[in-house]
Amino acid sequence: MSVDSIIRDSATSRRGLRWWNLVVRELVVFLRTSFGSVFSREFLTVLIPLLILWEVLPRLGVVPRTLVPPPSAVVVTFRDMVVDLNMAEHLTSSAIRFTSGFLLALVTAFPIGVLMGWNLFIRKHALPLFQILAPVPPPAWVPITIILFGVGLPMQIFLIFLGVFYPILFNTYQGIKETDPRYLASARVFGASEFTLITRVYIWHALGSVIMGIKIGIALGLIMLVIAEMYGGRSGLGWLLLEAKEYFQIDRMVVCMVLLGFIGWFLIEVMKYIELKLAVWRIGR
Amino acid sequence: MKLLQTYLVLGAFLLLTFLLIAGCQDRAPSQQSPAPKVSVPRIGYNPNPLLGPLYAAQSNGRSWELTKFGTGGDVGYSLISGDIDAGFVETEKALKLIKAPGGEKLKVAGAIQFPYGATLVVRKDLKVRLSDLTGKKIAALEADCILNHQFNTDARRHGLDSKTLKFSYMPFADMLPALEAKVIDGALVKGAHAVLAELQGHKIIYQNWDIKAGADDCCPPSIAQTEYFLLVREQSVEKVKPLITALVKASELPPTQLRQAISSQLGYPVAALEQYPTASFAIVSPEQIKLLGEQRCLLTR
Repeated sequence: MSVDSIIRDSATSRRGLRWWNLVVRELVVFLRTSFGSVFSREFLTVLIPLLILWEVLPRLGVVPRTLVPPPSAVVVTFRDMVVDLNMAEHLTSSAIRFTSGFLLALVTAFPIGVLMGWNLFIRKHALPLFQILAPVPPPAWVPITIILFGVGLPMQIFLIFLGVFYPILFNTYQGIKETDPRYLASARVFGASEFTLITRVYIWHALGSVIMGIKIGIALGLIMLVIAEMYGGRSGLGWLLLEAKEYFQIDRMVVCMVLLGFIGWFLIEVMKYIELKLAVWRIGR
Repeated sequence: MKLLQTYLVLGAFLLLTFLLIAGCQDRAPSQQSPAPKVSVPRIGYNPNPLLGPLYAAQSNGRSWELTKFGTGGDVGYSLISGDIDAGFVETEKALKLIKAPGGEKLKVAGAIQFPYGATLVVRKDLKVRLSDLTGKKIAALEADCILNHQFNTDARRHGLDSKTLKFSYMPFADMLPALEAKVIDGALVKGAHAVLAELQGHKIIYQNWDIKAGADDCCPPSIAQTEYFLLVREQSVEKVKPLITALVKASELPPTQLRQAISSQLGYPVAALEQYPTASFAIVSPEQIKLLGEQRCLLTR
């Protein structure tokens, strides 16, 4: 083996190691910021007594145990559901639907929001339409969506898309529109083109608003996921929740509700982490 | 400041505990849904062509109030909460409901029954005959069910080897939504579900009414032909008795009158209903009493 190849190999492995270290470091940062807020002393003083109450009241018979299953029973039910109902498959189905609808909304709402915020001509033509359509509650779209797409995956994705689209659109638009004119003037002094202004000034200024829109979109998207899974197919967390409701399995309903809450919390923490990385100047506000 | 914080947290917990306890208590009769001045029983149901006797009884004069619900599950929760006095709940759900929290206060007063039969329904967009089904995805209740055995025998006679079909097992109630969602190509259902499927536009390509219900474990004889149970709250038994009598009487009406009642309630053309038998109401049978337990049944004999 030549000296060159040894140097090349060690450089490659060093790069690999550096990349791995970076991933681990960022994972630690993410876990610290996300779980840090859950395990903070302030929140634990609320969470622990709540969990104790939830466990103790049904056990003492103060509230019916079957109507309010205690956390220990919920954990056992969750384990049973993982084993008996192939929970991983249901979670995967829901994840595919949610991700598809969410990404579709993100790649359409964000550019439209940017264009509406940046250009008065586009804004005057497009904004009123969205302002009329946005107040229509997404569940009200269900019958029309079924007629348009039939009952199935496209319909489900479209319903989730509807839930996520408007919060991202309006927050992006607002963030872009409120860009400080002094930043724009400064950039123009240095000869920045309109494209440079959009990619280097507007979008970065609106980043906080966009991420806030995405966070709201995640919550609404999860609501729409449950509604969408009411129709068509026999899979997904929403379907499990509704099936448990129809067959009076309250413990299973609680498991699904806790899981939906956890997924929503996790996704919002991911967005907080992205904000931490991209919009450093907003941290601590 | 710290003292104030402690008081605030304590206050919040006390309030939460109070709300939780209050929310989970049974409602006293005086607090139940706006008490009607004339005490007419409220009957919950999910509109369905199988409830012909109910519609017929309704059109023959009434001393009760019908309340529509979206699903049998909603009827069940309204029964538990006391919003309604009685309600029609699908068999499988009713069996779960009487064992669920609050379900111990309910009694089974009777059942809506429909002839058993085996039917293969295929999706409305498929243009196939029985012999063209090779490789198609078919929903069935269980592998070892009399419906499957009968279908396999009949299919072989029509040149279809049922081993070439991809069977997917699910409850009858889930088959129609699965057909609509195109998750399956066809469904092997019992008679009552065939009616619902065809009214939604799906096609029947095989039907055999000559099946003895309850000849296997997957469809126990006591409930094989039962589509709905009429569940009654213990406190409302007396109020609901006239309805039970009216339902039994309505079941004795000629099928044309029952179809007319269904048609006027749900808007289906009578001609579309004519090719099917009609559902009937019967008070709980000795087999059902054996299955459910005497204390869970309302004995009106």
